[in-house]
Amino acid sequence: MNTDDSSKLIERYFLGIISESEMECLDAQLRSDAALRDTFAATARLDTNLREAALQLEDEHEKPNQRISLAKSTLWAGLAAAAALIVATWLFLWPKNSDINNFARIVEVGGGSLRWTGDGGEVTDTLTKGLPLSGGTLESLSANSWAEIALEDGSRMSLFGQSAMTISQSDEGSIIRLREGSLSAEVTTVRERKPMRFLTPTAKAEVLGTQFTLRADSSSTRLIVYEGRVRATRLADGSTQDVPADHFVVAAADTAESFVVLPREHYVDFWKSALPYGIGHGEWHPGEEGTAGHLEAKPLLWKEYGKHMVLDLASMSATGKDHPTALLDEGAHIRMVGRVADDCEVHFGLTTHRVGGGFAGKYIASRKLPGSENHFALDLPITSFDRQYPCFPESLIGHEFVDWWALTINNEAGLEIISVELFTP
Amino acid sequence: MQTDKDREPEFMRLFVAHEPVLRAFARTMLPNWEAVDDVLQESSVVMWKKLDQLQDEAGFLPWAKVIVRFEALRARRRVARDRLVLSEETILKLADQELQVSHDLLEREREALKRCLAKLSDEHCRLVMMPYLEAGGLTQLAERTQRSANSLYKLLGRLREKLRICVEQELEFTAEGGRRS
Repeated sequence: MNTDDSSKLIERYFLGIISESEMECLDAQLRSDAALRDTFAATARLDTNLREAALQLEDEHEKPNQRISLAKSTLWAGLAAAAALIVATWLFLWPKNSDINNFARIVEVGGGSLRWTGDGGEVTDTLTKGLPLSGGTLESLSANSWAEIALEDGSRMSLFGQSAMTISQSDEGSIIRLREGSLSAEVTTVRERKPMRFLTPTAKAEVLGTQFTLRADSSSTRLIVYEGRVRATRLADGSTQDVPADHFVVAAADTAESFVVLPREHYVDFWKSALPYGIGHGEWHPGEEGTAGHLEAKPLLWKEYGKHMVLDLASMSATGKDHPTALLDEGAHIRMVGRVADDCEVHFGLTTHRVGGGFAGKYIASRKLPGSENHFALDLPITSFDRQYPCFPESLIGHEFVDWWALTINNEAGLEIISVELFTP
Repeated sequence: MQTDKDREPEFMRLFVAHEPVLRAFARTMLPNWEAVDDVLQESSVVMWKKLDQLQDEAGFLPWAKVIVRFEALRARRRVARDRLVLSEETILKLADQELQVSHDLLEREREALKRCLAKLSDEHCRLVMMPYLEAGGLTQLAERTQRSANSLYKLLGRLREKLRICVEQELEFTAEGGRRS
């Protein structure tokens, strides 16, 4: 990375728009480059002087007789706090955001279609980093879309794939309702705060200072805890389970299914689809005598680079109820067996999580296939998958395999998926 | 024996005199102004409580910087899960380099910045000030100025980089005694 690139990273940091991957990059460079640290410090001083100049300008225009320097205001608060902790308590409790309704913001967005519907009914499909949010519903509408939000207490939530969550806040604390799909959360510990509550169609989870992943549909919820402890309630009968770190529980609507806490599985290096279980999008066609069933890609409204298009998509989860989580090793391959009726380019995608929890990224490989009545069988080395956005880790090696999707932009292609397999030759 | 009330004006004078350089020092270590303001406030409380440790006025700035560094690291640890903060190792290296920065350098840079801002168009000058004045961040600023967020980020980044280089050149020019044409 040259000096210009480093300077741009520094400016992005001070403007508050740096991404996680850029941050890692900047941090590594600052550790090893004393000259860059000088530039960074000079930018910090420039930021300080610019801010002072801006505030002076504002005061001169708006409050000529009420100018109080930053120093005096800081010191005034400081001395008062030293005299009585009441001031500190007041400052802690007082909302720092001038708009009390905004208690969250978008910190990262990517991929296809995202939609925010505020409690007042306002709808926006253009979500950008830094957008302040009050109560409302965030929808990730396509397999390749994702968004990360931060609450004002520092807690973060990533929503990815076809998922929808509603966020709200009251005197009782924050409530996150995952209607469907996948969500990973890092909830910060604040002693004075009430537990954050997560609701799904079949379960409730109360958390304080923890890291976990939720995957929910209308019939069951899978909760995996990576750090801390989560109290899970199965809504069907009100029974509860405390789920410690490195454990998981499945809460189904059907109370005949077990609701017990189990250790997180050991990782495996293989996985094979068990269709129709885990379908995210597409239509399942059971096999007839002697033939395999298949998942037919179905139309979906997709948004890429600000443009909408209709494409055909098939997707499914790779974290089966009874299957241990698969880890993506360097030598691993994805084998897709399916059929296309017309010549087309098929885009295959994978969603991954970091080991230890949290959304990691989305990765894509594309192949041109000839239309045929016969099956295709494609072996795609894991190393041939490229990250969808630069903010994701460059390589998916060592990540957990969460879900896959396949799509064609040609709606006449008739894409069908018969099986998907992760294996190491 | 001096009472707290006797010492308050002395402490206020010292803190106010050195506050800009302490604020810049904290900004080097912390990711946003909200965190800087919080840490400065907490640091001022600690300084007031520990004022007895201060030997003389000349030692105020280095002593205060040590306290600010400690409070900044504490604040950083509270948000350690946030992936948009610098690592502790990097913060310590930055802080070590900046311990020597004087009030005088910041003042000279401030004066230089005034001259550099005067070289910008009114529109660009207003734009570089706006992030500090607008609630809601750059996204809302982009909406208000009818620019795409990306183009606004790029323009702001370019302007700020230009200002930083201009300040450097102005300082060199002053150090040379204003001999350049």
